[in-house]
Amino acid sequence: MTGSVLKAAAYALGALGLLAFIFLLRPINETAVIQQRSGTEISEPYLGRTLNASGGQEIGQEFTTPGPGRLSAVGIFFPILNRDSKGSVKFELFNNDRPRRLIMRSETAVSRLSNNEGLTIWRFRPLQVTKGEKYFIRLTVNAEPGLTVFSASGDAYRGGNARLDGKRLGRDLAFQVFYRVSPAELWSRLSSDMPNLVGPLPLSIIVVALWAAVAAWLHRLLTFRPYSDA
Amino acid sequence: MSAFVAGVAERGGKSIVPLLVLVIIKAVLFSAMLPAWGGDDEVAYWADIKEVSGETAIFRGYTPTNHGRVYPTLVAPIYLASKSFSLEHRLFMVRLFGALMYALIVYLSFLTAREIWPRSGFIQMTAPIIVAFNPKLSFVMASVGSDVFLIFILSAFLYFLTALLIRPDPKRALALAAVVVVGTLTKQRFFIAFPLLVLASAALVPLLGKKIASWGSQARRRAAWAAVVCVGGLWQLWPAIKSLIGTKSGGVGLATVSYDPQIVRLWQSGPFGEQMFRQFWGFFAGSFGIYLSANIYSIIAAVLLAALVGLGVRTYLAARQIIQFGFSAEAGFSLRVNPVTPEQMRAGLTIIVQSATMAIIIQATGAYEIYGASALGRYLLVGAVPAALLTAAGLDALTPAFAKRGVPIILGLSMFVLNISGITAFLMPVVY
Repeated sequence: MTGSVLKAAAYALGALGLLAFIFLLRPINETAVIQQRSGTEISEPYLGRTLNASGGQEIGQEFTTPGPGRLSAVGIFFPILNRDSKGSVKFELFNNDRPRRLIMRSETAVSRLSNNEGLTIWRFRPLQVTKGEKYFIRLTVNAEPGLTVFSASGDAYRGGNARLDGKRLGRDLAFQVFYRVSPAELWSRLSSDMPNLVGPLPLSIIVVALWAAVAAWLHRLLTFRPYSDA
Repeated sequence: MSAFVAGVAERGGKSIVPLLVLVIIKAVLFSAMLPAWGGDDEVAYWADIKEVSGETAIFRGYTPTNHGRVYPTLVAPIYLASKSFSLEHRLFMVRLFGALMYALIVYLSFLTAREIWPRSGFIQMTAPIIVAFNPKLSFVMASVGSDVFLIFILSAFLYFLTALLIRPDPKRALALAAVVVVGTLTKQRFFIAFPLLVLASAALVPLLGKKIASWGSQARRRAAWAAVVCVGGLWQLWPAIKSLIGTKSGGVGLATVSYDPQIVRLWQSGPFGEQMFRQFWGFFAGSFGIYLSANIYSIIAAVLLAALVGLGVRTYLAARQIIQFGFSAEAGFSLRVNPVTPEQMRAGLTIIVQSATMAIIIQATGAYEIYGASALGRYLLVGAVPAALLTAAGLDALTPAFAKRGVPIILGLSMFVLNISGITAFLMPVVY
């Protein structure tokens, strides 16, 4: 009896360790500054129109950091129209102070962009920022017949504007900016302001049930017979 | 739920019960964590359910889809029963139907593995693990959408087809016919089943014919009536069957399953295949568009490549048992063909069916890209079970006896970590 209890406790601890490991394993622990709170919202206002640029033209977007944190990635939403485009796009991120300071530069083949399937994300070494800093994303199009980016119908984002060949447009690109956050901050977001459908208490119950199920499954994995003569 | 678990245990599937329970709880977690309307085309499918439930079909500007009405009809009772709930809680309740379907798909993968390899605990344990922890499949099964039921009904079709090939039995034939009817009404992408039926018929007709010849006159009369009912049913189903046939220009349906060098070139071109592969394994949450890290895809690709080599080894060893070449100085080259045992025959037939399924799904996905709007990696998910079976069989051939217990453990734990990290490391940071 004592042996069974100890065994059950060992498996339960193993399962708990596994879940803790998963929570800590967060290779892209970023969160979006400009984000849509639900799937449908992404179609409006951020995907209201498209912005077209031909070979040699530059598409840009300014943004402002909303608070202190570690800026780590930028994502842009491209439509399927780029499917037939050949060539590449140069992605650059600048600190928008005078003079502009280059943070990151990368050349990406158009065929590798996520066409209409969510964001194409460019990551870089996390950058410590404070509230109100200005940044600028620049895409230089080296593709024929050109490149198309989803954009808002109007001025959806107040921290900056889209630009075409340096000329300010009265709208914004469909884009997101990501920050790194600590596990503690992530958990606090999860248990307070969150888009999960059931709320903190039922979610905690589901996680505990998952933990018990993992323990039972681990036990089965350790005792199954690879071959049977039956 | 407890009746389901008891039923599974009764049929000798005790070893799979803990995994099925885990799959259901995991699916509940995914259903809760996936933000409202974050699933692929979830809003349009919600409009379908509203329409079937007799409400105004337009939802947030979306009109119902033109897919079959089997899925919305099945979930409509949940939708109507949760009328007093908030919209988010109602969505969560309807999503839970996917948790049940997911457990059934995993169970079907176990049953199919057990039919083909009755003595291999390794394959019976490994194949369901691969299905249970596919990160993309987990998100699809946590969403509202007809793919939830389509993947289940195609997995059921493959199970009954396999079971029938292995043990021809009128009951199994009837179950297969019922699955074909429901599948035909579910979604156009069920067309994949028809070429497989034609392929399997070559083996099924003589097998079933032999069985029927041994029946008494009463059983034959019953079978004749069943045939009449089937033909009548097909007549009724003609509009749905016509939709399954589709048109090449529309980019969907049986019409696209014909040789086209464009499709071959598309898959050979690299970026398309890579994109489909990445989306099949881990492209999360519809419009959020979150991919796994590149290294993870490389590891998955390496494991699958090893499994492919294993399948080759398995096929070679089986062929060597049947066809034996010899050479001696006196007699020169000799060729001996041993009689094929029933076990070899059924393993060969079923592997051909599983491989053909994957080939048809891959061809159809390419056709969507060439003739239709565009292909998505999730279209390959209807092949989740055959892909898992072939992978498990391949890994079995490569795994030495002393590692037969260790490999499923390592694979299971790694895939579980990958699966849950889909939420903690990829979805949460972007959405929460």
